[in-house]
This record gives sequence, structure tokens and C-alpha cells, in this order.
Amino acid sequence: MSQFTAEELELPEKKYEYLDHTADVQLHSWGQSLEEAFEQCGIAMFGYMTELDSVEIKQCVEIEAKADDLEGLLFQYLNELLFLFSCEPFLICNKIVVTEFHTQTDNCRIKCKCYGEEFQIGKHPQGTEVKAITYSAMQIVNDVKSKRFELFVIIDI
Amino acid sequence: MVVRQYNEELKYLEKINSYCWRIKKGFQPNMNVEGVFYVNSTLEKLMLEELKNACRPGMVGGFLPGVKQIANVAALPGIVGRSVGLPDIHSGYGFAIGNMAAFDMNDPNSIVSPGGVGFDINCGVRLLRTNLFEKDVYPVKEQLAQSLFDHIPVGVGSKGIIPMNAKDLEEALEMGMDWSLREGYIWAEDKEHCEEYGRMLNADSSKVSTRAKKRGLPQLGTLGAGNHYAEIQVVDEIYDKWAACKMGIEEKGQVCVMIHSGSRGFGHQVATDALVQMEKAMKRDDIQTNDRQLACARINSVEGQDYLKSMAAAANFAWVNRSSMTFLSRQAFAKQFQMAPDDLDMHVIYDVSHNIAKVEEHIVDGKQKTLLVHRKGSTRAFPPHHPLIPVDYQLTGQPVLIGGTMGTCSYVLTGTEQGMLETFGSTCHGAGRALSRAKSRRNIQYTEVLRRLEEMDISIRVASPKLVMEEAPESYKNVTDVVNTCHAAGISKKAIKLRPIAVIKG
Amino acid sequence: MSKRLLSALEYPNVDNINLSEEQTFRTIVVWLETNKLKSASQQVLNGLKNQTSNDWNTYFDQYKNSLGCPLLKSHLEELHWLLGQAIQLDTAKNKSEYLKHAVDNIKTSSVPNVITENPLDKLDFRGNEFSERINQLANTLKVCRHPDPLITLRAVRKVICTRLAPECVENPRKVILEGTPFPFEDTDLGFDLHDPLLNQAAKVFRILYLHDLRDLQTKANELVVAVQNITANPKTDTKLGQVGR
Repeated sequence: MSQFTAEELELPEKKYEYLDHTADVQLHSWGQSLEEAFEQCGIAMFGYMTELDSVEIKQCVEIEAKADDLEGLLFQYLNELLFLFSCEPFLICNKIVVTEFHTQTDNCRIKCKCYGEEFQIGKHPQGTEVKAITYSAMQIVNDVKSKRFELFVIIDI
Repeated sequence: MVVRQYNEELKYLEKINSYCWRIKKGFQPNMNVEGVFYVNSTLEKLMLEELKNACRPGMVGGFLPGVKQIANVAALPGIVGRSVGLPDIHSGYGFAIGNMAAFDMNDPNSIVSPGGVGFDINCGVRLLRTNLFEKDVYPVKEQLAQSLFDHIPVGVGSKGIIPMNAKDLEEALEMGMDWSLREGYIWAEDKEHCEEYGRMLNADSSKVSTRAKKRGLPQLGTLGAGNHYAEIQVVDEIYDKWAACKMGIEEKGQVCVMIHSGSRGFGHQVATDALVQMEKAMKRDDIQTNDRQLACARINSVEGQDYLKSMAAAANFAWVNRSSMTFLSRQAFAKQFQMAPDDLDMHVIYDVSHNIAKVEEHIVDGKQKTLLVHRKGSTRAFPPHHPLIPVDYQLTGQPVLIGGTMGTCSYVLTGTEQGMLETFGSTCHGAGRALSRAKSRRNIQYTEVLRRLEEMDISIRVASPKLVMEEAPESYKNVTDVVNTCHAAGISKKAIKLRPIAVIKG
Repeated sequence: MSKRLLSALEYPNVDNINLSEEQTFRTIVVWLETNKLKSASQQVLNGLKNQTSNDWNTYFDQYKNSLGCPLLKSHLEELHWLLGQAIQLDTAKNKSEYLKHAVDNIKTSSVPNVITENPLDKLDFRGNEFSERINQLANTLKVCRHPDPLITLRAVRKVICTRLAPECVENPRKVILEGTPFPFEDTDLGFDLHDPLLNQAAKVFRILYLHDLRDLQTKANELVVAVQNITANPKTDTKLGQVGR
């Protein structure tokens, strides 16, 4: 594991929770910046698939997502993460670092590094399967003045 | 959404009889037709409570209540008859789960909506019978449960064990169960006892994104997680002797296997892709809906046609998936009892689809019409003599398989003429959630659930303990209430009740 | 396939032609008409022969109509249909030639050809005696009589062939399927003719129809199984997951 620096291996503080929803689950994440809220939201989704304590950082994959607006960006970003898990490299992440983040309308873009390892039955307890990301009741709080950055997303499970 | 006081809202709802309510026009804006929902007194309370909660001031976010969703669907272009809510209805994405609606194929404004099908395209239930009885299975119940658990890949991150490459997948998407037949995973009779004979002919894999295929390939032949399961069940009650007899069920105590699964990541991705496409089509064709989540496109538009073709491919995927698990279940039983599956008489009784849109012929106001029937969390239930049901069930009506929840009963119903007239030949699909997942986890202890299953003498193998709470019977509406409502309302008829003795879950 | 038909019709240089070329297509149509089909009017034929003309397709449409060609999607399909017609004509013309090679004839040719008179040919099917005897036979076999003795005879034949065949008499359980009884009297017919007798009759028809349908489905299943014998090779790869530990 020498390929990762100590800084890379350090795990972020948990800034997310799961909220009530009849058939599905709502992810709620927050942070010091919108980037951090995005990072946390991604981890929150992986946290529903397994116990994140069991995940070691052995691999890093870079992903990119684009959209016309912020909601679309969040949707596409989570889709990319879900796709990382669903087929090669079957990656389960416990750390995400946003490296590029643009939020101007009609040209929203996110690039990030996803740290984790290949999902292995036996090593990683099986949680719930995420079927899809939804726009349903999606909320993005992007309040720079009062430094409030929060995301609400419902995932279909 | 129109915001009104709860008692104002109630003025738009009218109880027609003990099992049926009418939703009048005006409940939501632009309703083209009326809505209707089927509930008994218990389910009625749940339904109205949901509405009441949504009327509380300051309610934001989350899903609309089921009643409102039925009414929003009634406002979609091209809808005919009524927007129908089945007894197991609960709030969903766009359409409520347990909502069916039909659109006139000959009306150029008619739409198709991926939200009316759901993410898990052609999620469904298959029931296999055996000639074994409870007394044969009881002594080896634990071993059999373990064997099924070992044979069928379950839970998040599990991979299929039937070797497939990209070319096999393409063929399977086009051929559906004919692929499983050709490769020898199933029997000729299985196809006969399957909705659409296990193959939608309009499937076109070239309309499916590479991403969906990539997600689908490793997951073919896996059960999945969530509410999906495989169960060993015994016949607990026979209500309709002759219908049961036609299904090869002779006596109480006979052992069956129920498989509840869908199109896995493949279908989820097809639905996700379609929703993105539909948003564009809605803007372009200026289609107005009450709810942004009711993304849809005209049936005749490129997006509409592409969706129907890729949805058909996902439906085929689901049939191949259930067929692969049929093969694995037969193997597990054969190994345990040292007998060939043929000698165990492990025939498919039937295979139903819960989340699908199909082109069907129906009589509307005395005229025959070609309709695109959306069933989301709803099962087709065609009456006796309908040309699209297998010859073996021509006299009894189509078998309708209603899967219960972990530890509760399941039912087999049959379709009726009245259901054909009132609900376009549709009925309920299962229990339907009553509690949220997070609430289930808070309120219900994992060990408590397992203890109660043990008390009921049910063996359980589960990949994720978390799910045991989320999927506990308390989290769902009572399936018996749901089924009795369908029976009493006449939209389908009870034939058999099944009780689980072993559950395998994701 | 079209090429095989063309070579069967002895079209020159079949291997080196490209059927999707418009020019080739037109040439073949003219060749087929002049040498094989020979059905077009002089006017149409002249139109077709003028292969470079812009009106060619108009004449071709008239030609197809006169032959009764169904609506097809492409020139290739149309060509295939025309070839089929030509093959049929050719086969019919040389029927006796082909029959020499028919399987039936090859088999029987080694057997001495004995022509016996068929005594049945001499029977008077409309005579009273015939009808009486048939009815007696029917009574013995407990077959219901029909006013037309020939129809009764057909029913009698069915009983004899299915129930009195040697294998059936020896081992009736093997041949006679014992279905589970079903109270069809109580079942819903799906419609009402407002006459109990008619309803009863309609039910009988329904059951007969279902019987035929079941036969058809069984045959379809048998066909599938026959194909499976060639194609089936189910595999599981336990490396991919844990199975049957």
C-alpha cells in the first residue's frame, strides 16, 4: 500500500445521515463547502451498501461528471459512483476527494478521486443494493453567506 | 400541488362501496379521467393517514401521498378509463407503486412513462411446484435452505455464476427465455407458463446504453437485494380446488418454491437513461404534467419508441434472470433429494411481471381499443378464456402470484372478468410498504425478527442482517388484507395460500 | 438463398453477381420474365427491358400487380418472391422427372407392384344396408350415431384407431391419458347465449377447442425439446461465485 501517502489514507470525518422515506432512503450530507457536501454524499451512498469500516484503501479511480445544472450534476455524479460499484472495477469507496468543481449554469462539472477497494463478499458485509438515483425531492443548499452547504437525495433501493 | 385542508381534500373522495373509492376530477389539476382505489377498512386508514400527513402545514420534500399520485397520473395525456390504485399502493417515484394506467395507442398525444414502470423493470414472481410434501422436506429443511443459499447468488455485490460474455448478453436481451431454452437452462413447459411466453418481441438491444449492458452482465442470474427473495413454501390453504388442480396443486402441505426478482442493474440503468431522455422530450413536445417526476414522452416519439424497445430488452433480461435461478433451484433440490428435477415434478406454475408496460386490447366504453397498459407494482390478471393466457389456465383464469414479505404468507389468485372490466385486468402485487426503511431499523430489533421467524419455524439465510429489519413483516401492509380486498372487490379471486418454511434473501 | 434459387434456374454466372445492385436486379427480372415466367403483356415487357429508363419502376409495379406479388419491403424480398414463382413453375413443368427421385417411390420400387381392387369402392354409402351396419358397429362400440352414416363411420374409425390399436389394448394406461376431472359445467363460459342448450353446446366447443390447443402446445414443446437436444449445454462457473459448496 506504499503507493498511497498518509494523507491520502486518512479518512474524512462523517458528515452525513440517512433520513426517513417509505420505500426508499434519503441521503443528507453537509460540509464546509459544496465540494465537501458532494464528497460526503457519495460516501453516504457507499455506506448503505456495506459497513465502511471494513473497507481499506487499495485503489484509486478518477471519475468525471457533467450536467447543465447543479441538480443534474449531483445526479450524474452519484450515477458515476454507482456505476463504479456495479461493474468493473466493482469499487467500494470510503473516501472521495473532489479535484475539480465548476458550478456555473450550463457547464457544471465535477472531477474527483475515489479511494477504496474491490467489493469482496466475505470481507465486506452486504448492505442494501442501490437501484438508482432519483431527482425526487432533491435539495441543494448552497448558501455561501452563512456557510451552509447541504445535499438531500433520495436513492431508490 | 394544490394545497388544501384535509377535510377540503376529502370532498373530492367518495366511497363507492366497502372496497372502492372514487377520486373526482379537480382533486389535482387537469385530470382527464377520474381515479379509483381499492381498500378495505384497515388499508383505508393507512391511505387517508398518508394524505392527512401531507396536508400538515410546512410539509416539504419527500413523495406525494399515493392518492395524489393516482390523480396526477389521471392528468397525463391520452389516459383512458380510470387511473387505478390497487390495495397495496404506496407512494413512489412519479407513479405510486400499485398504480396502473392505460393510454390509447391511437391517440397521438398519448404518452409512455418510465415512472409508470419503475426502476426494476419486469420485477416479478415465479412459482415452481414440487411433488414433495412438508413431511419430506421438514427433516432436511435447514440443509435445503443452505443449499439454495449456496446455489443462488444473493445480496449486494454478488455475481452471477452462469458464464456469459457480451455476445451471450446481446442474444439473451433479444431472445428472453428462448435464450435460456436454447442453452438448456430451462424446460419447454416453463415458457408456456410465463407471461408473454417469456419474451417481448419488440426488444432491441441496440437501443440500450453500453452502461446498462455493463451493469447487467455480471448480475445476470443473481437474486439481488431489497425485497427480492427465494422461498420454500408449503400449501397452507386451498380456496379454489379446481384452479389449484389445474396448477398441479393437489393437497395442503405440498411444497413450492417462489422466486421474486427482476432485471437487476440492467433494468435500473435502462430506466435511469430513459428518464434523462424523457426530460428533453417533454420540453421539446411541450408535455405538461402535474409532477416533474412523471417524466414521459409521446408513444410515437423517438424517445417513446426507444424506451419501449429497451424496456422490452430489460424485461427479457429479467425472464432470463428468473430462468437462471429456476435452473439453480432445481439443481439444489435435485442434489438434496438425489432425484432428477423431472422426477420431483418441478414445473413452473406461472411467472408474473409487476413492473411493465404492455400493448393490450381492451374494451373501453363498449369499443375495442389498443392500449399501452402501465402496471407499476401491479400484476396482470386476465380472466378465463382470454387468448393471451396459457391453454392450461383457459378455464380458471390466469394465475396471479402475490408474494408476501419475510415470514408472511403468499397467495395465488386467478384473474376475473370483473377485473378485466374495472382495472384493465390488473390486480395487486404484494404487501406494499407501510413503514419507512429507517423507521423499521429504529423500531425493530434485528434479533427480535430472527427470534420470531424461528418461533414460526422458518429457516432463514440472509446476506445482510440490516435488511432483516427493513424487510420485517411489520414494515409492510398485511398481505392478507391486500389479497382479501382484491377478492372482495372481485378484481381477482383467491385460489391458494402458501406459507414459507425457508427464506433466502439478499 | 436467392442465389441458390438462381443457380437452380440456371441463371448464368451466379457466383459473381451482386444482388443488391439495382442494375443486376433489373437484369434478373427481365431474364426471369423472358425465360421462365412469361406472363407479362408486351407493353410491360418492353417497359422492363428498357432497363435504364426512369419509368422502369412504374412498369415493375404493374408487373408485380399482375403476378399478385404481396407488398414487400425491399427489392431483395421481391426478387426472392419472383424466384419462388419461377421455381414453382419449373417444378410443376418437370413434375414427373422429379417424382422419380421422390422418397416414397424409391422405397416402393423394390416391392412388386400389386394392384388390388378396393372392395370399399364398390360400397353404396347412401344405401340403407350400409347405414344400418354402421349404426350396429357404432352401437357395439358405444359411439353416438349421426344421421350421416359417413360421419358416424369417421367417429367409429377414431375409436378403433386410438382405443383398439394393439398397443392400447395391451397397455391402455400408457395410451389413454387420465386427466383430472374438471367441473366444466360450473365454469363461466365468458358469454351468455340466453339458452341453456346453446350454452351447453358452446361449452363443448370450448372444451374441444382447448383440447386442440393443448395438442398444438404439446407439439410445440416437443419441437423445442428436439431442438434443445442439439443446442443445449447448460454451464455454471463456480469460480464466479459460490455454488453447491
